[in-house]
Amino acid sequence: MNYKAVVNILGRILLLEAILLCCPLIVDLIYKEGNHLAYIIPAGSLAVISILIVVFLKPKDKILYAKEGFVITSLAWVLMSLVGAVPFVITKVTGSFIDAFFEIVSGFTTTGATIFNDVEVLPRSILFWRSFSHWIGGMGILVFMLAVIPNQEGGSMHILRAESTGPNVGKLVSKMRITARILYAIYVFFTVLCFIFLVAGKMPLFDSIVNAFATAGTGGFSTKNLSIGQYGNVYYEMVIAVFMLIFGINFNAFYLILIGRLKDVFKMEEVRAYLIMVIVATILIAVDIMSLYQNFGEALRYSFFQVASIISTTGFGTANFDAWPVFAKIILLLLMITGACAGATAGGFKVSRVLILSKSSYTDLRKMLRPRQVIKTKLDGKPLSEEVIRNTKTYLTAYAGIIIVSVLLISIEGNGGVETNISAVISCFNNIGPGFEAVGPLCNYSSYSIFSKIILALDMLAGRLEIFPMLLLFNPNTWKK
Amino acid sequence: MKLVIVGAGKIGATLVEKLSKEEHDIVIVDKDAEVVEQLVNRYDVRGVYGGGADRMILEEAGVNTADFVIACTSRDELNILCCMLAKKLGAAHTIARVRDPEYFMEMEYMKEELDLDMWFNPELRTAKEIADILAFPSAINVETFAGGAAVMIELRIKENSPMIGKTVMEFVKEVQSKVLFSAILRDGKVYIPKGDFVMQEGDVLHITSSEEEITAFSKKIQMFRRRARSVFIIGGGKIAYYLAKELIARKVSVKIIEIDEDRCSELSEELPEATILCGDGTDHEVLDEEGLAKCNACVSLTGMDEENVIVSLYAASKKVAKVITKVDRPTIGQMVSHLGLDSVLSPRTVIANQILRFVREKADGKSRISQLYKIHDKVEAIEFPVTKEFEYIGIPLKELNIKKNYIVNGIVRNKEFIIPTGDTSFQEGDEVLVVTTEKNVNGLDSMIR
Repeated sequence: MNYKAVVNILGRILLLEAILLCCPLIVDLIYKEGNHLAYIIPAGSLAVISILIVVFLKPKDKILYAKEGFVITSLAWVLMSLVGAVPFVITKVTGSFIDAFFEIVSGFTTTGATIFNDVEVLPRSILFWRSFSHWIGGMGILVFMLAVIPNQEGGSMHILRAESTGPNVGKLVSKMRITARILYAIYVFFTVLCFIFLVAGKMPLFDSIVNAFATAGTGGFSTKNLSIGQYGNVYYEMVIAVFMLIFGINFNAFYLILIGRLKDVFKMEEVRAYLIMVIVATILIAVDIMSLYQNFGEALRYSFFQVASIISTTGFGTANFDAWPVFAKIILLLLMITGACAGATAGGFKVSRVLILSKSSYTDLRKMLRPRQVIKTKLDGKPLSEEVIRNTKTYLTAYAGIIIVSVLLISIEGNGGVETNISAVISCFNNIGPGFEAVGPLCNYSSYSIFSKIILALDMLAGRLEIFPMLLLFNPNTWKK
Repeated sequence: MKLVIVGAGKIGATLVEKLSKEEHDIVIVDKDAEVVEQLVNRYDVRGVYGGGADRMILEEAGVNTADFVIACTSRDELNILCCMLAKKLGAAHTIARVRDPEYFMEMEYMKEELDLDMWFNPELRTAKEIADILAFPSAINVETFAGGAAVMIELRIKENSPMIGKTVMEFVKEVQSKVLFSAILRDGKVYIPKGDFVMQEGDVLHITSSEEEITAFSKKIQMFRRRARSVFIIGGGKIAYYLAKELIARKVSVKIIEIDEDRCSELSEELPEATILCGDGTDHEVLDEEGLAKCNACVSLTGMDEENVIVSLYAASKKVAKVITKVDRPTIGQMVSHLGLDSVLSPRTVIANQILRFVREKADGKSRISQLYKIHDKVEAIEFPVTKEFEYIGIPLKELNIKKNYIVNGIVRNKEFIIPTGDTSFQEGDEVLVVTTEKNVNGLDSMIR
């Protein structure tokens, strides 16, 4: 382990967070809410510590290997969350530090699960910080660091791979820095576009910013207790629904459009499957819930928004889907698990992994009938390497394992019910936010014990970083010299 | 600049390693996903899996906008095809690795017809370098500039040398030679020496001048050895063939020892002037019997690095005047330099350097560099032509504000080597030799503040 290099990069990330903490500070000063100390204290102390680290702890050898990449990524996220929780504690909006930690982890991991009973009484700077954390976490702070810090030496690929989502992470262009910049440029572009559309629809300026950030990161923290539904505005709902879907699409697709290779975009099986899933799920749910609403159009409106919100793992709500019939709820639960595309800001198991698993299982089935036949599993017309298939299967095992263990752990103290606890874990682990029953769209996570909140927060981190970086953090072999 | 390298073998990997240190956009293409993966993890490059002559793959690698496409897979035909395709798709320059001597016969014709910008043959190039060193046996390495008008030799200060303990200035005065000390390598660090630099045993000097001056200088420091007249080559591979051909052309007598009978008869057909011996080159009795000790030079070129090193050590113990060792893995070369084997060549490094030079020379299309030579990756000796556009023509050097880490190492005017003084000035048509620690220099203007 190259400890010095790891600490040095962590120092740089914390310095970046100190700078980012100035954004809610500005909001606080604009609205004159008097909470400036809540941001100045953590930002100032963080800046001093991280500058000392960056200046005095210079690594001799800058090369990073896979192990360092994993450790940097997971530690960065844990440290960022610990510091990011401080403003909640200083402004005394949360009862305990664990509540604050849960809230900010939920923010950075773009989950959107909250412990606040009433968000409308929160200071605006806190509301801003919550949804801004979605935006930072959506594309990833390490990717941001790769975009701004010059001359990263060898091994930065491991960081990109550890922080980005999906089974097959690649660069768009040769230079890591340019790749990271293109990703952020696309991200910023769509965020601004979303904001403009919301402002054009006369949503209040502050709400537009907060909701645009929460949509872009596919997070789900809103400024209203009833989320987007409280506005009762079809236009807002459609704009946000469409943008949620956009942010659930693999960013490579946008890059291909940008460089004029439209043909290749249509070849991306993952994007196709994702859009088909959205359409099919929307229609099925709309038919199922028609009896609850006045007409089919109304049902379609709520069904589309909920499907977009769940499949993109955002978690905004316009309807209490907990009261929907069981068939609709099961479809939503399945969408929670699959999530959106790899290489997007969304969470979940990822459509591409579902595709890889089902295709390779189908290949195996055919091989059982004719053992001598040689068949290659292909995705996007290219054969998949055995390693990717094997990794995906391992991922499925770890994924199921974590859900089972987490459900067991949060049930020890006897809180919640079967449906509540299972949906809470699935929702947090896949970075969605709301679940069913006691953690449904109208409720929140405040009723859980401190222990359960820590488990759920770790689930969110594991889900955002795709399990392995977090698991390796707890493996003693990782820390050996 | 944008480079696409097709083939991630020994040479491809070395190129990626060296080129990724300079600010280039690099895409590496290979059929072997694992090898590509390793390179992508290690260096800031992009990888594409697939065949080098597959249009889809080449398009994905972005050859249409590439400045250079370098094809270095193990197959000549594939490399040529890849370069032709790339050219048609819009690549600016193409470089192919072609090794078969048959294709090389018609090199210029084929280059023209196939629209290749450069093709390289690692074996031929290595053979040329070995032949150059044999012409200058006292040097570890020899580099020629400006079409041979200037020579830079690399030599190590051995014990009992008259140079030890003296400054550069004192010594040059003492021997009254018109040579320039371009760089000195000590303990892995490269220094550009000032006049007061004190030399020590083990220093590796880089000295530049005209060929006659260098010869005279070598005589004065008692390191002069006549050019090799008889050369013993162990191993009869492609390099041996090219080397023998080159040496025979220079009227040197050549003995090749090769273990494989069929190869021996092939060689004897192709090289009637050389003595071809069939036998085990690692057997000391065979070597002694064939008169290794009486030869001026011994070059070990078998396919095994270890054998080459051992045979060379044996030859050195027999007091063969010049011993040259070929190793395929460059890392071994660094290890054996401590065993007293100075002239160790690796075809990979040789060829990677040649391509690097070509890439730099052709950079930004203006070809402002005529030649580039890297001294241990830290210092570069670069040859620039002085063109009409250069704005400092005719101004004496002492009035030019030249940056600290540059020295003007020599000027070649009308094939004449001039050692610059403060009063020298640049003229149009000069070839200027600059030594610098700066990286990625691409014009003469960049050395002036």
